[in-house]
Amino acid sequence: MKVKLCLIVLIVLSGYWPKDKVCYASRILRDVVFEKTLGEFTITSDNGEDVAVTCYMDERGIIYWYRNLSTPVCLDGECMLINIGIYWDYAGDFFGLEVYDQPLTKFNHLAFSKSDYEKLETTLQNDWSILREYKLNNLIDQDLKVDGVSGATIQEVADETVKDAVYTTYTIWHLVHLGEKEQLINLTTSILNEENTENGLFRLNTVKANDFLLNQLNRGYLVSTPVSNNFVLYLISHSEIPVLVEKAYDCLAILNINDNTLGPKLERIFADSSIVEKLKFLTRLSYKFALDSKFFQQLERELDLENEWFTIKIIEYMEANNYYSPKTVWTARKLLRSKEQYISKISKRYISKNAN
Amino acid sequence: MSLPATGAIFLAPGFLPLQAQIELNRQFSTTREYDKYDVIVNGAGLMGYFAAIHAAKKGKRILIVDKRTSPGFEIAAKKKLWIGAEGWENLSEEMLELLLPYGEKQEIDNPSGVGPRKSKFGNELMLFSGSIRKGLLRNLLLNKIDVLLMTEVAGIFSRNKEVAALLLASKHGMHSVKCKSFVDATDNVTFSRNFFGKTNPIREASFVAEIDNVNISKRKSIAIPSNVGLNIKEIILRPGKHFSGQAFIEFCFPPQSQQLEEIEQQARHITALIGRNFSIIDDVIRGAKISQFAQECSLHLTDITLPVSEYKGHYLLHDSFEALTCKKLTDLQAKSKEIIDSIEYLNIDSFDTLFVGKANIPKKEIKFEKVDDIGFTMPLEKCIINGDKWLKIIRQCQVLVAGAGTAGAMAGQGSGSKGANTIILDYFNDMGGTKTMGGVMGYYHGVKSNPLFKNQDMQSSLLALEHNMHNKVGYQYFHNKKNVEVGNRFLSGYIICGTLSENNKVTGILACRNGSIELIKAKITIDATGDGDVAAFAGASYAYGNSRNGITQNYSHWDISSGSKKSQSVSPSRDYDIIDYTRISELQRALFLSHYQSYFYDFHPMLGIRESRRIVGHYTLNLFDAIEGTTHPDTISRSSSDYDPHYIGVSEYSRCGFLLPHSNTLVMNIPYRSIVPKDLDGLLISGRGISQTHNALQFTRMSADLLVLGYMTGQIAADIAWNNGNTKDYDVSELQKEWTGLGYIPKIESDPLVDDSQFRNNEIKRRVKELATGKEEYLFKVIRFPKKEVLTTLLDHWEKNNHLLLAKALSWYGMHMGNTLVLNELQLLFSKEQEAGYPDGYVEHYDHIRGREKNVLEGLFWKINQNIAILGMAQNKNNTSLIKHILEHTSSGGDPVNRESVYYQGRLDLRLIPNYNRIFNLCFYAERNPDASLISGFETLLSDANIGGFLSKEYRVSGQNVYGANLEIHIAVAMARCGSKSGYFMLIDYMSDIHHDFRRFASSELKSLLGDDYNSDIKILKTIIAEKQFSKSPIALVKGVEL
Repeated sequence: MKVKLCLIVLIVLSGYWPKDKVCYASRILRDVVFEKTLGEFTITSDNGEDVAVTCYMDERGIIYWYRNLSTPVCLDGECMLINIGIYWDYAGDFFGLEVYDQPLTKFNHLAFSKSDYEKLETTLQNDWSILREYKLNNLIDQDLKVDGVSGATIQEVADETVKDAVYTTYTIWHLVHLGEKEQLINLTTSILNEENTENGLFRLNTVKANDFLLNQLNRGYLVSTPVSNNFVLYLISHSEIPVLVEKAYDCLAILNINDNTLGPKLERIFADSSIVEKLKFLTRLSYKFALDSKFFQQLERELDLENEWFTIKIIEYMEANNYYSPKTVWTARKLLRSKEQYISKISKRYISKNAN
Repeated sequence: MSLPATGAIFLAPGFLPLQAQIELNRQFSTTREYDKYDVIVNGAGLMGYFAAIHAAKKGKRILIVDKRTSPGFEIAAKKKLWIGAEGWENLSEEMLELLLPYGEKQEIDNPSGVGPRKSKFGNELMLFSGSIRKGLLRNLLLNKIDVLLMTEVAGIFSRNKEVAALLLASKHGMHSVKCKSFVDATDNVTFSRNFFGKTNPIREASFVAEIDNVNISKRKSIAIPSNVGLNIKEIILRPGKHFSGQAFIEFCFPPQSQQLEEIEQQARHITALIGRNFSIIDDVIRGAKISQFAQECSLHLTDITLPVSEYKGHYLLHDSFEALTCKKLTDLQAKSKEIIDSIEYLNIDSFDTLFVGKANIPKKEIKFEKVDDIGFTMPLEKCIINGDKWLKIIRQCQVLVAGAGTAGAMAGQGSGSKGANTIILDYFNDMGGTKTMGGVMGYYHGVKSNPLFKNQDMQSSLLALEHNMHNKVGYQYFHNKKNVEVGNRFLSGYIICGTLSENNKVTGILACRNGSIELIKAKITIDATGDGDVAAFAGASYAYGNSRNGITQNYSHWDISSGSKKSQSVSPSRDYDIIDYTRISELQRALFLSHYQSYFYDFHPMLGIRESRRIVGHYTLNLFDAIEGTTHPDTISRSSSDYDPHYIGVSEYSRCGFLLPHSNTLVMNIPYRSIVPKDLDGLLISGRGISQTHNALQFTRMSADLLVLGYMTGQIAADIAWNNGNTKDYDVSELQKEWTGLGYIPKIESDPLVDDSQFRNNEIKRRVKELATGKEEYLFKVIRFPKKEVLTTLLDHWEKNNHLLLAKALSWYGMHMGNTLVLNELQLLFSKEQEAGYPDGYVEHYDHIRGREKNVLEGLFWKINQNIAILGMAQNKNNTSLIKHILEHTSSGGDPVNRESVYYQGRLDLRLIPNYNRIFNLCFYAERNPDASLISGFETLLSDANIGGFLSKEYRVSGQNVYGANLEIHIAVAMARCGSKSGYFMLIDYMSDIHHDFRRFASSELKSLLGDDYNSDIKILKTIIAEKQFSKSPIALVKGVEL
């Protein structure tokens, strides 16, 4: 029997769907209190249409996003309308699900059981589910030529979907994950920028929140301020979470240079750093990032003819910042004799610029 | 053969008619009576094309080379897909068909076009990149012009300043080719300008990007508002004809640098800023998205005065900077003809000097060798030059990353993050390799929970969103940006053509750009070419393909799918053929094939090569590591996949049904030792070329994993460079701690199965015990151990319990006791199958196998196959009569099975005859148990039209039927080993097959059978076979199990 499958995902309505009856709500939603609504914002759906998302804030000042939608899930023209609410956290990660009006059902019209909802939630938590790589019409094994209803779901897909509800799982997963996260991150960041980094996220001090803030600072989307400067430098010198330290280093290039206290702080941290950490400093600090002379004097003390590549890195940094001193020029002259042509070339250029 | 006016009309996507097949192969199969070309044209742009065609029509022998992957750089590589329409009525039919082939009609989906072929928008004719590239190449080949793509002229061999030959640079190294004249038709005649040191400053550059979601019907100029902060005045918008909404933006900019790679980066940066500001710049582009960058900028020089050549026989062919119009096209053609007509052909048989890279090298300093490519007939000779001694242009760094693909782009980031002075070098001007330039953007498998992977993917997506780019373009831009952020230099547009080494220490590479070969020196080089090119140049040992016939996975070439609503009859992602990417002829053949069969609209510039050289390292990853998840003390990254060989799998484990495609999804640990070439210092391998068996490769090649491996390799290289260490003795433990802390790898713990012999012995005993109780899944769990470790335990159990599963395990290890049990089962299963017939559901449906519980065989088909193969392993003559019976009752089963899915239909390895694997296993048996009684059964099979007659010497039936040929050659091998004279003759015929892999396999089998290869001389071989009494001498295959 030839099975022709098609699924039309049409967002019929978004925004204010009447929540007459909540048939299912994620457990985690019970633990959060939305103190205020920051308003309605717009993101673009997979098919290029504008859809509304609502921004909530809890008592700690943490942002959440919510979208209410109704969509048909169809198989061979037989469609069933599902009405759901999706919650994301500030980072655009799936937070919770509500189902309205009537419970989700499976191919055999049986309502989702508790374990079905648990399976659905587990799948929705996985932002890199195998469902990401499948197209809708490949979910059922067409070449097997058997009835899709009877379980000819491709086996690896079957492992990540609610049994007999592959289309429903797929549809909701894609509504939650594909394209939404990036847009919600941007929306969260724009709100943080408006609040001048006083948002509760900076106070939350969890690995996830700090990671999120560092990512947004690093990409230049979250505007750096004296507050964010302190945040970055604190993590470099105090965090015990390697991934945060690493990302904090990456943020050195975008520190707010209008912060008068920044230079001395950087000097202190730099002075206390190991050679590996100093390398990270030099690599990440923007060449356009002019610090005061004390920092350069600090760098001068690091010049080491035994470590030519490290020294030339310092000289390149100084050259980019037009810093010349007797010691740096003397060092560059010594490096003219390096066996490494690159090092002698840069040294020559540095000396020449100094002469000019 | 009568030549049609133009060839493009025949080139429908996914279709390769006989005429086209003959054209494709001519260049590689022609017997030549000459050793030099009359004309070599450098640069297959429009002028080079016109010149070559004109010369060919005059009866000249022509070679045209171009550094890009397609001809037509002015239009295609620069994405200037338009031509002034004025005067189009005066174009010849041939020219019109070249620009606007009839075949593209089905892909034109923008109704706004009028005029010729509905392609006129305003005053311009809009073109398809695919059409131009397909048409130019087809016409070159049709006119019997030899073509070498991805190849540059890098130097001139001369005597008394008269051109005698040229030096070519390609990924296969440096080669000389003799000629009677040389025409430089490169962009801006850059070759000659560089060659004579007469480069002129670049005044202005222009760049094109393709965008969508823009509705315009003709050319439109948009002024850039001053508040956007771009140093450009305007952008020009043009509509595309592929679909409504498709458009191109073009802009000019003053270059901030004279370095070509920096100009290319500047162009992309400006494009990104335009994208970010679409909504501010103009309402018409509000909502637009960038879908493609051009491959390269157009460069305008301050002074276009041509250099004067110092060489007799060297001609310059240059274009002006005016926009292309129909009128100008005719002028270009006339000018090209004029140059060809003015050529004075030299005939110099010897030369004394090579001028290359600003150096004059005496001939005696150059070593010449025959090209290592069986059956190769082009008059090329391999050249070996001491670059360190002679070449003058030098760049230097601590870490050099050769190749900026999935692994290389991340290796650059990894090295840069550790502060090392890093150069990252690539053939393309954009990073991302197979993903971006090949278009394979999906992440199918891989350890996608790895935070490094997830983080970079999210950052890339965010960057794309911010700049209104499609994800592929965002990915290109992301990698460029990230590498620049850590201070790396990205040298783009280079062809790697050699290695610098000293006392087995790699000290850098030789790379060519626009005719200049440069030395790039480094403390540590990372070979991230994916093909092990750098390592191979340095003399590293490597493996290629599977251990039986040397064949790799097939390659793919992806068309570009787009916003057109017209559906394509073929999938944009198709597998084409099996090639040996390390051979000149094979790379060209692959490029030709995919040009012929691609979409007219567009196709990606890069081939999708799944498998190439595997460099032998200090540790070779194998199947045991994969299926047992071996934890290595020096683990540096992980990989995950199912067994996905895009091939049937020919190793013993596959033939016995344990390792079928899309089975065995698992996670594998990659040790540091597998990225260190065994006999070389100063070099690390990253990407698919690491040290591993063919089976292991199937689990390590996923892009999500190569990306992480690349980053780790970059960090290791930086650490070694900072510490002046060597690669062999490097201790990775400090970095492991760091990565564990970052969550990139799990905490490394001891692996008792490897480190604790007592544990291992007990585990083997436990598994055999479970097997003896009838647990079928334990068969594969037992036979993965070496015979010497298992046999005693197996025999102990066998003495107590003559269980069928124990019998199978013993057969696997070559033991005869228990064979009868296996035979009995086989007889029973085969009888059942004879009654039931071939199963309705296509048994080779791999997605059904994927995720199969306990990886245990289901159905009759593969259980029978398993027993045939396992009995083959036992090597017991008493088993042959039943196998003979099965052989004599087996046929093809019918035509190759059609698949409903367009994608699967394009997968060569999934379109097999029903009994493909059955027949393959009968060959497997016969190779190991040759017997004259089997010959007639195989001969009968060959008379089946679906089995015999696939030899593709004339490219008659190759392409989609390569797996037919693969089966046929294995039947030939089986027959030859059984003593069949016709089997030998078939192998000799296969030595002339179009596929290098088959030529090599046939040649090696004949050598194995005859004890001598007779220099692969077909005439001698035929004489010897004709005289030999074969029926008396079956020769069994002796081969270890491929782990």
